[in-house]
Amino acid sequence: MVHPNVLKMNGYDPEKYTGFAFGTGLDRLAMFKYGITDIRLLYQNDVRFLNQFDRID
Amino acid sequence: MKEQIEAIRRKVNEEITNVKDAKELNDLKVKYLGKKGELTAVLRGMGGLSPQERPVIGSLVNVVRDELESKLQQKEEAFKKQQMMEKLEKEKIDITLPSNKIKRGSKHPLNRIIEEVEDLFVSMGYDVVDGPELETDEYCFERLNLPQGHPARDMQDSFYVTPEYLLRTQTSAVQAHVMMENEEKGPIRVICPGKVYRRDDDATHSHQFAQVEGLVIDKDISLADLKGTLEVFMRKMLGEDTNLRFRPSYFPFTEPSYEVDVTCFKCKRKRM
Repeated sequence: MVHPNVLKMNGYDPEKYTGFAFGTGLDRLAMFKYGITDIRLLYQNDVRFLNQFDRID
Repeated sequence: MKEQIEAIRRKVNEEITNVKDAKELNDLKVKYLGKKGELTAVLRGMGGLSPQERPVIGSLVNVVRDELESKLQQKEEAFKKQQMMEKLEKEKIDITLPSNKIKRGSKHPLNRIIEEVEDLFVSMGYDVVDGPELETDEYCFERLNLPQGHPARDMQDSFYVTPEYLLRTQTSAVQAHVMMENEEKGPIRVICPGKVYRRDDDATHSHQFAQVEGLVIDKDISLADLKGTLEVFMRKMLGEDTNLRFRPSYFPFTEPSYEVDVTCFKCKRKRM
């Protein structure tokens, strides 16, 4: 849940509003979903790696 | 004179069979029917004929000329046709040959994930927002309840460009922007996918990676909303049989805070 201080500092009244915030690593999600074991593969743009996603979807 | 004309007629008929191409045909035409051609010369010589002979020879010349002209024309058309056939033959295209395959690129796995996440949240009424990757200390930390000297700043190994500017260490920096820019200070429902930067580099940590941030602000938002949202999120992405576990944790910008484990996509039992 968004910290009352954060709400206050950015102009929201914590007595009136509440909120939630979440963050997820998209790399990790991609690694899980496609079974990738090394995160660095996602950033090396190796065609041998990228070609494997040719026919997904 | 008559014999002269007949001789020309014979010669042309004879030579025309030996003509091999359009150029030779043209030469032949010039030789007999041209301005200085043989038949034309005969015509010119008619001045010396008697008035009785003149029309006879004149009409004969015309008959012969018409005949020869039409023969030459026929021949010319035959050449043209032949040329066209040769051209068609030469330029024939085999439409049964397999074509060169056009190489298609593919979407990067990360972009696939981002698009999937965006589609999902847009379908739930969220807006997709963007923020600067080069962020001020104020928006990256201060406005998220991490004043200077706060020990949690050590948790983020940041790339500072100047003492004031740094590469954002988390998309949470966008939260402050969205809240500050909302002039009515009304409800907010956004996600922000984007690149973030930390001083990490190994098989599971990259110095640049991608996060998606979600922020919902409204009256009566509770932890149940967060839990339900994350359940939908993870089940849509990793499969309907995915379970979540909320583990109490600490982040400076949230209270209470949780880290969330999901069942392993492979064995469905181990945790994230």
